[in-house]
Order: sequence, then structure tokens, then C-alpha cells
Amino acid sequence: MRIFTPAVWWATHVLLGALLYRGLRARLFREYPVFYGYAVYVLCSSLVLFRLSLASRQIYTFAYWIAEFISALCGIGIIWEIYDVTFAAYAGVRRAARGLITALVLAVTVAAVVDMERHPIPVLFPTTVEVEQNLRFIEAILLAAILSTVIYYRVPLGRNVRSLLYGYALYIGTVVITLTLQSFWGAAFLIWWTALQPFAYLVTLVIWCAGLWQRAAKPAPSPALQRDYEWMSQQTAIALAHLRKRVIDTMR
Amino acid sequence: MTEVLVFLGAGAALFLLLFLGLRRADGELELEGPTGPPDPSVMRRILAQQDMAYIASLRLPRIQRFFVRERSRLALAWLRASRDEGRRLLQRHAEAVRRQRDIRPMTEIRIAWLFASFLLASLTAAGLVRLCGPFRVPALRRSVEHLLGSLDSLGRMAGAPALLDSRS
Repeated sequence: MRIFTPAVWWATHVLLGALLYRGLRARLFREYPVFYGYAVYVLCSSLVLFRLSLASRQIYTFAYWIAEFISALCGIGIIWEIYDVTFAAYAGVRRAARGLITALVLAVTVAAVVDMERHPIPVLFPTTVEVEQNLRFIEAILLAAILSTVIYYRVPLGRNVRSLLYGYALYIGTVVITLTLQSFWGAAFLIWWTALQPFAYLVTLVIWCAGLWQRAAKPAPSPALQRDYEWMSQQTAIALAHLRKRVIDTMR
Repeated sequence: MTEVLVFLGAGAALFLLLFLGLRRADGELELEGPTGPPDPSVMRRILAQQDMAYIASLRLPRIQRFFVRERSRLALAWLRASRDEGRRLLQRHAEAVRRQRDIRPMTEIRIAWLFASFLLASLTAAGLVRLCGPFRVPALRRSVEHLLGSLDSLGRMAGAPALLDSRS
């Protein structure tokens, strides 16, 4: 761990620097301003935190969680940017993704309200870990909705946005799981948490660097359907119903 | 504890979607092979009771076991081909409508529901073939219809079309 943690820290910052440099050279800053703004913030805050860690452990711990909270908020902006770019040429699918996101967020809100009703003593001041955990959970839901829609409708993704989406989904998935295990197991999981989360971020940066090294052409959107949507949907529904009937009939 | 499971489930779901997305990007989810649903008369022939009756009349247990195993394999292959056709239909639909501006959520939910019910019927039949053998499946057909009937009631509450019509 004594070598691992500093090595990961240095590798992370070298990759962040490379990502920002390539973003400038390939002019990707203009296409993904929120993402590159986030990368600049992470680099700067990381250097500030390093300086604080040398000064006072207490101040560093406090500043770390504030920085993580702001980073989680920036993450919502990145997800919005991914959503915007991914579904730019697919207005109908964009609406479907929005509907799915709305349904999921509503479900989470209802569950949270029901949970608050059950517990007689409401938690008025959640810890910073809990706040970050909840924010990352929301991000996980948003990313899951976007990924589900992309997979279901087979939306073609360009190399740049694909690396953004998959890299960030990998990181958020890891953070949600490690934060949950950390809050559940406490000190017993601490050593894993201090290793897993930075390593996941390092892997994410590798994915981002590989995918955002050069500006990639966006895939041309597929041609619009010549037939009526209702007619197409009806044909699909009829075909599926026939297929199901065949399966059941063969069991006679 | 519920909260822990929900959070872990969200993380796991994200990893699963990542995996599916990567497979799709590699083209592994592309379906090849002949298009069109498999012929139901083939399946009826596979599950023909008279063939089983003849083999049983020979009173050769090894031959009987081999026969049942081969017929199970053929029945499962037929069911797999029908599932591939279902997936192909869904893929074609998704690719065809994704540029449409007027995608209607309820229509998409209806199609997804139909696909899910078809998949359930196919997987149930496959499960029955694996567990009970291909020649007992017709006797268990009523259980499958009962299950689909229950889904029917749930689906109608959500505005989905009937899963079973009076002809099935």
C-alpha cells in the first residue's frame, strides 16, 4: 500500500494532465465543456488537497469530503452532457430516455418518502459520506437509464462519447459499491476503499484518455423510417404475438 | 439492510449494463442465420408421442434414454431459434423507430411487454423440457397457460394487450 497509493496518485495526475492537453490539441473542449471543466476542477482540487494534507490531517479530511461533494455535483453535469450528445439526432429516443429517468427518479423519491415515514426520528443532518453516497446513487440511476436506452435502441455511439459514458459508468458503479460497503462494514473495509476507489478512477482515466485522444467522427444517424411509426409498431406487435402463440401451440 | 441491497443492486446493474453495452459494441449481440420463425410442424414432430410409444415398445432402456436426450436437444434448439427470431424482431423494431420523433412510451412498453411474455413462454417451455423431458411437456401446457393468464390480468391493469386469446 505504501508504494501503491502514491503510484496511483501520480499516475492519475499524469493522465489528467494528458487528458487536458489532448482536449486542447484536439479541440474537444468545445464539444464537452462540462467534462473538461470537471477535469480542470479535479486536477486543481487534487493539488490543493495535497498541499492541505501536508499541513493538517483534520483540515485535509474536511476539505476532501467537500471536494468529493462538489465533484459529485459536477458529475450530474457530465451525465447531462453525455445525454445531450448521445441523443442529439434521436429526438424520440431522447424523450424515451427522459421518461425512463423521470420514472426512476420518481420511484426513488417515493421510496425515500416511505422510508422517512417509517423511521420516527428523521435524520436531519446526514453525514458527508451519506450525502455523497446518495448523490452517486442518483448518478448511477441516470447512467443506467441512458445505457439501457442506448442498448435497447442500438443508438450508435461515437468513440469520444462512448469512452465518456463507459468510463464514467465504471467509476460510478465502483464508487456506489465501495461507499455502500464502507458504510456497512466501517473500518474493516477502509483499507479496500482507500485502494479500490483511486484504482477505479485510474482505470477510468485510461479509458477517457484512450477514447478522447483524438476527435472522432460522430456516426451518421440512421435514415428516418419511411413508414408510419404506428404501422411499424403494430407489425412488430403482431409478429411477436404470433411467435408466442406458436410456442404455446407446439406444446399441445 | 434494504438500503444497502438497493445501493449494491444499482452498482451491479450499472456493471451489467456496461457489459451488455460492450458486447453490443463488439457485435456479439448481432443475430445471424436464417430469418423467419422456425416451422411449428417441426416441433410437433419432435414432441410426437407415437415416436416415444414405438421406442418404449422396444424395451431397450439405453436406446430410450438416448432417444429422449436427442429429442430434448432438438426441442431446445427449436425454442432457441424462436427466441433468436423474437430478439431479431425487437432489434429491427428498435433500429427502425429510433429516428422517429413520435415514439410513444405506451406503445414501446406494449411491445416490450409482448416480447417479455413471449420470452417467458419460451423459457418456461425450455425449462419444462429440461426438467421433465420433451414428451411430458403437453401435459404441463395448462400450467404455462395459467401463468400467462395471471400475467394477462396484470398486463390489462397496465393497459397492455391480452396475452392469451380464446384460440390458444
